[in-house]
Amino acid sequence: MIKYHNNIRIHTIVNLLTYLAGVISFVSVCTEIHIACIVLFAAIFIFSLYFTYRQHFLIPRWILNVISIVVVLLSLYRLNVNDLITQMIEALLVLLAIKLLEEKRARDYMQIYAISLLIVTGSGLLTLSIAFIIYFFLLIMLLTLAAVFLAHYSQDPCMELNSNIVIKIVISALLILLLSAPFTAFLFIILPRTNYPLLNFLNRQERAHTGFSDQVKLGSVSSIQEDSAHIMRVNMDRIDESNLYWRGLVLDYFDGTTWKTSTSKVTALVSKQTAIPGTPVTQTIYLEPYDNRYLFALDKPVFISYKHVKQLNDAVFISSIHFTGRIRYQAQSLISDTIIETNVDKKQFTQIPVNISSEITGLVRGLSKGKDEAQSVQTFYQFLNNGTFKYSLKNLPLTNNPLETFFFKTRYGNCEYFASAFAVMLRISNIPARLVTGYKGGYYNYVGSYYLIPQKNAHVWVEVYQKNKGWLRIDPTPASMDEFVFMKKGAAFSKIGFFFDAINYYWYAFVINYDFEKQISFVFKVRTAFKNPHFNLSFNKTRVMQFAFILAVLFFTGFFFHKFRRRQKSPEKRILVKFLRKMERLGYRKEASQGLEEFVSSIEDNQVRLQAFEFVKEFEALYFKDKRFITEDINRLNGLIKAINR
Amino acid sequence: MTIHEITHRAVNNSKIANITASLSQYLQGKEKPLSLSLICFFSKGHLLIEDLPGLGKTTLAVGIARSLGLTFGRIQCTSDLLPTDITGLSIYNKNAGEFEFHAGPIFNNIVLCDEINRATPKTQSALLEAMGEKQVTIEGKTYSLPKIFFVMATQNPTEQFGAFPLPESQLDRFMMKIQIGYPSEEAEREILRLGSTREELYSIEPVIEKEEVIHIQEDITKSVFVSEKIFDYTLAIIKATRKSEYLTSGLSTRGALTIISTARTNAYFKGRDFVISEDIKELVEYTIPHRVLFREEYESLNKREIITSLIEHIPTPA
Repeated sequence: MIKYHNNIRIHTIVNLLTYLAGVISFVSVCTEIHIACIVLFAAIFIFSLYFTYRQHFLIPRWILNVISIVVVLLSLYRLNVNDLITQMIEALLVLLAIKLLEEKRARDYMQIYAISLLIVTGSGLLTLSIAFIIYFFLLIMLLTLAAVFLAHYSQDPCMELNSNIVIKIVISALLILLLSAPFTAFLFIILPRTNYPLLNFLNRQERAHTGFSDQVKLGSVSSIQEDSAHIMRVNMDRIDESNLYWRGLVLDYFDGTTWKTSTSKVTALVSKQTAIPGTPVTQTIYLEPYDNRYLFALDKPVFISYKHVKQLNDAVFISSIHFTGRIRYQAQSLISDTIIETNVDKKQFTQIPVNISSEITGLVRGLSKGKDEAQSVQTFYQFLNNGTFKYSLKNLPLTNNPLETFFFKTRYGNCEYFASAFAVMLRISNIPARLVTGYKGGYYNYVGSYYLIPQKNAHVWVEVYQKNKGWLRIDPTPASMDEFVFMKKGAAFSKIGFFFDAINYYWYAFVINYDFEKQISFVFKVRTAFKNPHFNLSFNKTRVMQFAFILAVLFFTGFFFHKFRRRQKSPEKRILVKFLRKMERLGYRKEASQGLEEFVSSIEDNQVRLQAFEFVKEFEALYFKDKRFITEDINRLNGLIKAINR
Repeated sequence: MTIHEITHRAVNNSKIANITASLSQYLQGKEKPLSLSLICFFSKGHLLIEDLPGLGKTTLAVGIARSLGLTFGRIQCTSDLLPTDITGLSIYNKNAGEFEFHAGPIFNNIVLCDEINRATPKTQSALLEAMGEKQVTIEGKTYSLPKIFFVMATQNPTEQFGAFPLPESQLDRFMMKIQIGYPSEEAEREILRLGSTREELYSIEPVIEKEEVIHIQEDITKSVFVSEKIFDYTLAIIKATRKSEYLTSGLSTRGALTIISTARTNAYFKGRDFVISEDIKELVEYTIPHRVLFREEYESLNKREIITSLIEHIPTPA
């Protein structure tokens, strides 16, 4: 018989902390995962609790290892890129539960801690609620404690600790935590954005790519077109490449060197004047910060869901604030090259620079002589595409009158030159025309099913107004779509590059609304919240319901399991266990090889011994005569157990 | 389980208590051997006492016989002891003109067979046959032994010239093998003060009648219940002895029966009509060691301790 006073077995402590860690990681994600996973975890968890309680681990380790591998393989198999994190967390939860089911050695405990940390961290990606920080700190605290106790445990698994020593260890472990807390907080603020330079927020201007502006100055876009960065990723099904025009903004005023927007644009109120025929396409667009206000979408966008966005009457969407961070929005487009509009301000769209060279007007007049509008459009397009004008990004003519240089001297240029030339030619012929800037083409990433649109795909094209037809998109630049859709051979951006970009894409998709400023403002919010005496965690109703449901499931599973166990265990065994537990509480433990009388007679305390003997006599008379325990017996024996006291 | 712990336990049965009480004044310091002897006696077994001479074996045997109102016979074994010296023989009666059977000392209820290992194997086997079959066959005629028949054999543990140690197969026929041991200093002082009490012992009045003894023996087998849990426990013990690394051969089935019957008596003595694990545990060191064979390398160890430690690894049913 072992007598012990307030001694706690280290094994018990480690188990307690481990299971708490398991519960925390489960609770942190339970609202986000599939109900089947919840039930599975809860069931395995309860089994493992029972195994641990009995110190009897029914399922051999190798079977559990095989199951774990199967779980990992299965979860890899059904991995769906749309819901990556949730699935990974579900797999981790199952692994955690299986791990708990094992007979645990020190390294198994470490693995459990690692998995629960992963789960709770993962929960931070799923939910951005304040609860995350609570779970996280709770877990960190638990794991610190557990690590300290585990160190003792690995030295001597049978160690028994005095409660004073336990308190000392707890205090020292919490001190470790306290000392590391400021550093942890610092890491918390900066960690999720480490793919960005840490102190970028101090210098906002450099952060956004200043590629796209409100105006097109001939020759200046080339810097963008040699940029290897990306402007956006568009999650959508693959479509015919010839339709890949990403509409940005419309420019209608040309001063000779620069295209601008005139101020006369109006917000489109459900306009009767404009209508677009075409097939609808829905896109989810992840736009990189580029420090402007225009929202790109597949030509022609009809609806964009984003805050503070208004639609202009030329199918341009503009936000009232500049995008300094990465944003995500949904867009609806109708694939079409025409905007039906019956009435346009002819003066506005036939404006030409006052100082336009007479050589150009002469050229245009000569080309369009005796032709109607449609024929003129055709002639101008042919003129620019007949081979005399070359597409080039280098050594662009940057003179005071770039168009003249383009037409008569260099005869090469990029899309800006071609589009400007085309538009000006049309305008000279009194045909309304305007420039549309945006992006062309894009690489389709099958891994993430999205178009990746690089900065260098920046493009300008022309919309021509034709009577009774509306605005028709014409791209006069003699560059094949292939250049915008396929990568150059030998480009660093290989298939592996696609894969890595897909990972990037998912990361952005998940943390899109979770940037550094948000974290800082979050910290401030938390601070003010704690300063506020009326601090309350506002829970939304469904969330509370979900929690309640899960708790109820856990409770009932536990309850029925308990009931089931009770039914399995014969009443005499239950009473015996009850008696032995009571005696353990009083500080007396029966050895397995001890008989009851032998055990009781070794109790030093006279009163306890006599009272215990009372019970033993009654119990034995039933137990060793193989009698069935009826309710009265059970009640009497329970009464006797209750009566045992110092 | 120490002697102290056993005696500490009150003997609950009033009749048994009476016997013990009446004998204890003559058998100072021998309470434990006395109670073991009585258990053995009421379990209808035979007792082997291994001890040095002069520690009160005869006193114990005589005391039990007298207080139970039984006849007592004594055989002093020597190497020239013949089987007929034990069983008796037929002698021609001139007057009757026929052979007349003269019963030997074995026809008593309680037979003390002193220094059994000094008798020749032939004589030993005659005695052991009688113990096993409860009958003797002399000159082709079979004689039944009395219904109450209890042999207390003693043997000197120190090796002696001209001794015939009992083979293991025959040791199995003894229900228990006990030692008397030296009495405590206090008891020995008392013995010295009072002198030998042997004479008085012969004159004590029986505490119970012979019929009552038979009744108690029957009662024990009939009324003391043995639970399935106890059978399980016993089987576990047997299995442990058979698998033990210390032993070359474990308990026989006869040994297992002995465990149950002695446990029954032990329970009865304590006033219970059912057997608990302790009834078995208390007696294993007397019922098991002489029935099992130890590996040579462990022969020198204390066999009782080996068996006790073996039992300490078997969980009790409660």
